[in-house]
Amino acid sequence: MQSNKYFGSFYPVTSSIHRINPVIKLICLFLFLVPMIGSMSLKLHIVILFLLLMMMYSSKVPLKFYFNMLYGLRYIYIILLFALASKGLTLEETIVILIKISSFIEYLSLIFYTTSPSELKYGVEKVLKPFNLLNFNLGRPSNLIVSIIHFFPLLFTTEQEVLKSASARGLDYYHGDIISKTIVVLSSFKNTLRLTIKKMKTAKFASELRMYNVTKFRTNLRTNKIGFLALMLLGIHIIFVVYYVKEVGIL
Amino acid sequence: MEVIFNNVTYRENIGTPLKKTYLDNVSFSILPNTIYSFIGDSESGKTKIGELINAVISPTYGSVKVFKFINDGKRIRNVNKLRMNIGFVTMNPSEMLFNKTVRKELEFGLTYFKYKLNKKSVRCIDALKLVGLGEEYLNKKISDLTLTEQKKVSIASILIFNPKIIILDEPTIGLGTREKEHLKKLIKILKTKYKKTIILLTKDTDFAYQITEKVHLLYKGSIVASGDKDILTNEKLMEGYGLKLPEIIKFIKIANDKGIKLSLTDNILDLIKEVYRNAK
Repeated sequence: MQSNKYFGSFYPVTSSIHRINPVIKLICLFLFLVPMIGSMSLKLHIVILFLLLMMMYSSKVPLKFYFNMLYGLRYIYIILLFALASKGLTLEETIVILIKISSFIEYLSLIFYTTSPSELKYGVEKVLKPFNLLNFNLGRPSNLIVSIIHFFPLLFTTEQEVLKSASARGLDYYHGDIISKTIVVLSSFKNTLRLTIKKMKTAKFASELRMYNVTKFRTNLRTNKIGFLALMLLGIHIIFVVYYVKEVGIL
Repeated sequence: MEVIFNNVTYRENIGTPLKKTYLDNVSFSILPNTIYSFIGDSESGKTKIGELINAVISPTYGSVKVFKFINDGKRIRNVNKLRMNIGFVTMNPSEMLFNKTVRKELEFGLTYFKYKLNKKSVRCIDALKLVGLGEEYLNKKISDLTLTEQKKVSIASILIFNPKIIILDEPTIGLGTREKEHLKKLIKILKTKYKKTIILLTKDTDFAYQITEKVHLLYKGSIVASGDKDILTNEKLMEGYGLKLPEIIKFIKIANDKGIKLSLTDNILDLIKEVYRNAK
């Protein structure tokens, strides 16, 4: 019954990672995805994992907030291990795939915990800014991207509400064993999904009403300036991409 | 005693900067067939009391005894036997109603508490009528209902499985004057005719004063005053904890200050009669 409601939401503390400009954070996320998706090098993945752990530690968000999510997915990992073993993958390849999945989840969590929703929207819009040259309306697509990014945290929060309500009316989740818990989650998933989509639409609409200018530009947000740490982090991410590109043999 | 809170403390996010104590060393007991009100400002811990009784959360320290079941953090066997005797209506109906139609929402409790009933539809209609909604609501979508209607459906969805204890969290939020009157009548019927124990978790002192029998005043997770509903007439106490004196009491106090002697009452009609007698 541990409270899980902070997953995916902004964690309001002041840390070096919180102070990094949201645009740099998003660029770093995209750069991080390049070797994560493409490379199968164990060495590179261990270095990336180490960097991620350092970032998690310096974010001043308790590590248990990050690991709660991984712990929640433990059964999926076990199923995945069996699936990979049946495909005939080596131990090294299996470890790399597991690092890929967990790093991706933790990186997203890091972005959510350290970036407020308005900063995230600002960041997405700035990243999409080159499309301004094509006279493209940025408000709606960036709002849509942020809504999609927030979909999974919202899904988890809604799931908690549904599970609580269902438990109060006979479909118990909290006092059952793993089989009954799985049955409860599966039977309530359809309703959870429907409610999440509805909530996401409401949040998107509210966001448009409150702070979003759906014309070409939106109100400017005074956010953190790009500092030394941001540039250093960007540099490290670029090094990873360069390493990957060299590994593939493009350079 | 139906419910016993024994030195209950409830905290969330322990060991993090977001640590929060919702209830701090709270002890009280609840007698059957009585209307209780837990009155407190926002974040006083009212909702957590309801959730602890319903065993959807566990206390950090202490224990909650509900009938023969003990909620102290350990796994409760046959927890459904506990929950089918407790109906918990949340403050926000959207947190409680998750099925697509009103019929599915009402039948949910009956299905999972394994009621052996042939005429579920009849029971659904009866539950809807109790909260003042018609049969035509059965096939309506939850998302098409107004907040007031959703609130009524959430109450009907727990009345349908006939629990012994009914917990209403902020029952008057979103209700108009007429709906409040209807809710008041419904609570009185549930108490007198169906012998239910009612627990109101509210900050609406006007509503609570009219129907409650026992009051627990909460402030920042602690019970600061307990007793009969006369507590709600104590101006200093109420204002000290950020609560409003019931309007009817305010009126009586002003009249008494001006020399018109009116006795304390919780019924507006009795008050009008007394004012009329005084005027004569």
